[in-house]
Amino acid sequence: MNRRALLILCLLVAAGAYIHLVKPRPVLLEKPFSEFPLAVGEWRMVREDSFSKSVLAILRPTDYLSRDYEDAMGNRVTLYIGYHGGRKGDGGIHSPKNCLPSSGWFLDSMTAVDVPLRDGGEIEVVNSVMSKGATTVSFYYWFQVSGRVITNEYSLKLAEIWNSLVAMRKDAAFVRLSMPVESGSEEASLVLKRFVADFYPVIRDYLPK
Amino acid sequence: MTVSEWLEKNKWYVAAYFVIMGLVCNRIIIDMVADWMRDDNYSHGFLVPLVSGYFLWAYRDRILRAEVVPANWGLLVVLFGVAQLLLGSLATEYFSMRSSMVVITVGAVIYLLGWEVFTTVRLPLLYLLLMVPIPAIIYDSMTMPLKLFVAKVSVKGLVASGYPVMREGNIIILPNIVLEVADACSGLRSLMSLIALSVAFAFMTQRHFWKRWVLILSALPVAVATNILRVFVTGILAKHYGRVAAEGFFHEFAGFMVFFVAMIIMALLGAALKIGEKRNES
Repeated sequence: MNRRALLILCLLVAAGAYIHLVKPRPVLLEKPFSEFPLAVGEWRMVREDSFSKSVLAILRPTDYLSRDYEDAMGNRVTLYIGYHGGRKGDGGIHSPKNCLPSSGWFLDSMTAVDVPLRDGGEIEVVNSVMSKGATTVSFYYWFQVSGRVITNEYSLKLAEIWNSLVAMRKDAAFVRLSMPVESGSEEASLVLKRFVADFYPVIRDYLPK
Repeated sequence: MTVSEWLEKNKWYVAAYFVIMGLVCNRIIIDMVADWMRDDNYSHGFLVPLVSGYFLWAYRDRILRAEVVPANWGLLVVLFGVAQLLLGSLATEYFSMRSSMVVITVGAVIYLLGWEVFTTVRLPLLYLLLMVPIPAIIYDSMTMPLKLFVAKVSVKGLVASGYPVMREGNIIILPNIVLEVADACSGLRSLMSLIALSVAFAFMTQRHFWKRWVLILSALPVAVATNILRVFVTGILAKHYGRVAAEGFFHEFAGFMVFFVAMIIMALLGAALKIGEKRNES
């Protein structure tokens, strides 16, 4: 009998059993995104998009929302929220760092932005300015795991590991706002910051804690 | 005890190892093969196990004659690999899940057979790592600057040859057409395949340590240079023949040609590295 070989086989079997039998449970949204408010503060929804089958086959979100909101001054912001609850067959979050460049967007700059919230708090989000052809768009995005705002892909992975080890959950969300930068990035930034401040409490309440 | 005697004694353990590994990692393996089929960056994945098998076969005498001296350090490597497998599957992080299969096997070889055996099977074993697609976030951070560089240099070339061209990031603007050096058509997608091939080629043809590395490291400049050539030629053709030169059949064909030319350059480089050797020997 080869004790060493047996030990290795046992380790493998144990690891396999853990992977195949111990599954973090999926978490669903309490209300689907279809019930997400059509008006938040002075913002009114002006357009709602649904993705094509091929896009959904790649993203595989549990639920998602893609809408344009407009304020009284005619500023138009696109809001995308992808919720990945970890059901069987659900995909993971695609960072825009990978997704957008490979669909032809070119990264101009990427900075961390502190956004002051209405309740006096502050969150840090990523501002990534990208161009495709003649259009330049400012994307504000962040990830949210158990109510925590995360801006870094590696921290997101760590948070997901922690979440599935400790809370046995596999849910994470990705929030992205975008707005074309026509009149200069300063102005777009002000609008986007206002949008984040208006929507963040609503989004936070919507996603599982 | 030599490896061949050890194998005779433990053949059932070895068989059980592969069966159990296959069962534990079945989803991981199926997913990875699906990636090889879907993603042109990694279509060489199918070749990697074959090349690894070839190395194993080529080194079989040395491997079978090696002395078995089990080393406890291997257990640590196995445990590391198992941790990688568990954490990777908890976070659905494919790279660590997939590479853990190789890490666990490396650990098992060291733990059961020892360091001497490991050094004889090091190449075929570690070569298997090249079948694992690297994380997109790392791949993109590598290819982004290369893409920009390719666009920049090809535009310089086009301007120098008298073509009126402008560049905006990775977009090349000709009077009649806008070309985009995007991920899909940067041709850099063949970079990973070229690296995998050049490693195999280096070990098959070169005996000196430094010459192998020269050949492996030259895969990058060769890939970039052939891609610059490709974008340059596409630019000239697009100027004269319009869209058809940059899309559809020609696009695919150019992609294939770039890879083909890159392989020829690598082969010539390999031959050049050998020339001096023969002279020295004779």
